[in-house]
Amino acid sequence: MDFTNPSYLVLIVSLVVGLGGILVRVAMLLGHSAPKDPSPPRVSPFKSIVYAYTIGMLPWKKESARLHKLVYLRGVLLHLGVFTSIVLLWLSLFVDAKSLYGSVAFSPLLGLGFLAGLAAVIVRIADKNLRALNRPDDFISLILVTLIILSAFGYVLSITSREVFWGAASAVLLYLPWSKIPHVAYFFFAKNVFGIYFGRRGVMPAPKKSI
Amino acid sequence: MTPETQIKVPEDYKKKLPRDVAIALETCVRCGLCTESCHYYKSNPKSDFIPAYRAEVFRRILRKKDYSEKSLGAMSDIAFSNCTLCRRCVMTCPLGVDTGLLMREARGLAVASGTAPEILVQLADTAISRGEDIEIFREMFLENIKALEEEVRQLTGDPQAVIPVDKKGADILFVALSGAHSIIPPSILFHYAKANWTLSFFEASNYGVLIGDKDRAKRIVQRIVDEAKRLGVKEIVVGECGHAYNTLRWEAPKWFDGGFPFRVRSIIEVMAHLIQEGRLPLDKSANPEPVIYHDACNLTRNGGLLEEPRIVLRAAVKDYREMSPNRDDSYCCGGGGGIIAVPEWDSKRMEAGKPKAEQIKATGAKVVIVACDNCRIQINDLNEHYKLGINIGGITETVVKAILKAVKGS
Ligand code: SF4
Ligand code: SF4
Repeated sequence: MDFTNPSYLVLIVSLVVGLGGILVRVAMLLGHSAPKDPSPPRVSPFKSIVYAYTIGMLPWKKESARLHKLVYLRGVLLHLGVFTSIVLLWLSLFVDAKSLYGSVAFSPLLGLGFLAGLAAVIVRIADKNLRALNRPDDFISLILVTLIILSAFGYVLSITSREVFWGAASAVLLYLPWSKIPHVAYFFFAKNVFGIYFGRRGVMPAPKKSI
Repeated sequence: MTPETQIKVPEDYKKKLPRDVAIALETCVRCGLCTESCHYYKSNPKSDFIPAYRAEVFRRILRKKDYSEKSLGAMSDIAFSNCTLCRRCVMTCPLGVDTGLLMREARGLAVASGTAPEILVQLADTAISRGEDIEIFREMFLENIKALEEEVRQLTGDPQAVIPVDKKGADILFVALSGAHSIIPPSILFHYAKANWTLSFFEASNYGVLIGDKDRAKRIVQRIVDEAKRLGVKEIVVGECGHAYNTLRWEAPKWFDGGFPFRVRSIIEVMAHLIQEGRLPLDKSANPEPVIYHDACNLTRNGGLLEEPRIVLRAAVKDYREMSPNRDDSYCCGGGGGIIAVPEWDSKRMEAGKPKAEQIKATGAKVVIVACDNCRIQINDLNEHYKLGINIGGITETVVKAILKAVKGS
């Protein structure tokens, strides 16, 4: 921890803004009423929530993943790249991560994550359907997270400095409260609602086929 | 009013939305993976028919607080005529965003702002007023039932067969739709099952739900709940109506403190149970042709009746086949969500029903069993429009044919 380093200080402030922003948005979500559901469930909602997070997420269980294998793979790689960057960012707060033994092992995930991000930006511009759906935030968020992965990639390979990596991370964190990135947190709420809705009804997990 | 006229929507409208709606509003990342899941898009691949696109129209209105007549009118048109609330898109979304729920909420906003299709609002109001003064139509209803009872006696050959109405102490309150086809087959079924039942004065359908107006929907359900309590029944059995089953079984208990003091089942569940217990005499040769079953979205994906219809049909027909995809993956027929009641949307719903017509054609079956009245009308229309050459039947009617063949040989 180097409090004399300005980019370190900017990063700490950005962390407070970014994480605080997510907390505020989650608190706003929790401020909405959630009436109790007294209808007797067919299947325990617990079982269906577990299913929603596990088997229900497997690509062959989702028509969309079956139809768009590349998009699915791209999404997985992009998210792996982001999570690897977060781990690296955490490490870099305490030690110079690139000096750590084996940190270069992160580079394939980061490299692929970057390529996935870049491809996603291009597809968002080129695909007519995605153009119809896009908001400016979709580009800003995507470009920022792609840049953080790129800077992390450069950092572990000693191409760019830790300060560049922190700069990119700070940009993402400062923008985060106004972006779609909090879907990382909303995801859990949506999956719970999804699991409970289809689980209580006995649709998921699917009952044993009678024929 | 001009298109620019601002409609008064409460300042805290967005804040007051229930949490599941707020989650669906916030979570979408606009990845477009839900695109092909929608039967509208499948039959006409234009961007306006992407599920997330429709939801974005609603989101934009809330984000910008753009409550002009023009914007709300456009939203209303999308929510009512471009989405049947089938929720197939929800199953395919990697995040589980409930676009169907958002469209129902958008419908509610359209009703509150006076931009919803009037005919649907009127249908809901008519049902409410019927419940308010039951005496006005009581005599006429009882007369009609007497005539139907005569038919039941002829069909069963039993002069003692009855259609009980207003019977205190009955176990089952059966809620049908309007029309003999919704009352006669269940009456015969209950007769042979020796059920202690009574017919409701009210119809099962609930336009309040279809227009996304919880207040109206609750008032329509209230009539049936009061009747069930007054008669002291153990359960409500809902006839062949998808949205009525979904409403009474899954949605309405949330509107009544503590839920219902009785069970709610579909007639399909009742038949499956009776068949599994061996309590129905059935002769499959009454239904010799290849038969397929259309999974109505409100019974299957939103109702949970995935296997029960199959248990029933396998026992009642000789050659049961499946459409593909089926069960919770099944395509909407294009006639759900109340679209069927608005004649201006007829060509739209024929177009949206194309994937279902193609599914039916691919099986080569000549009989399609449909356990929802809305879907039945739609598939009848698809039959004509796409020249499918099929016969359409109800599931209770199919079972009753097999019962009558087993009991009477005809
Ligand atoms: S609804 Fe789901 S699948 Fe569709 S765009 Fe949004 S996140 Fe993607
Ligand atoms: S709920 Fe059904 S009709 Fe509506 S957008 Fe989703 S898939 Fe399409």
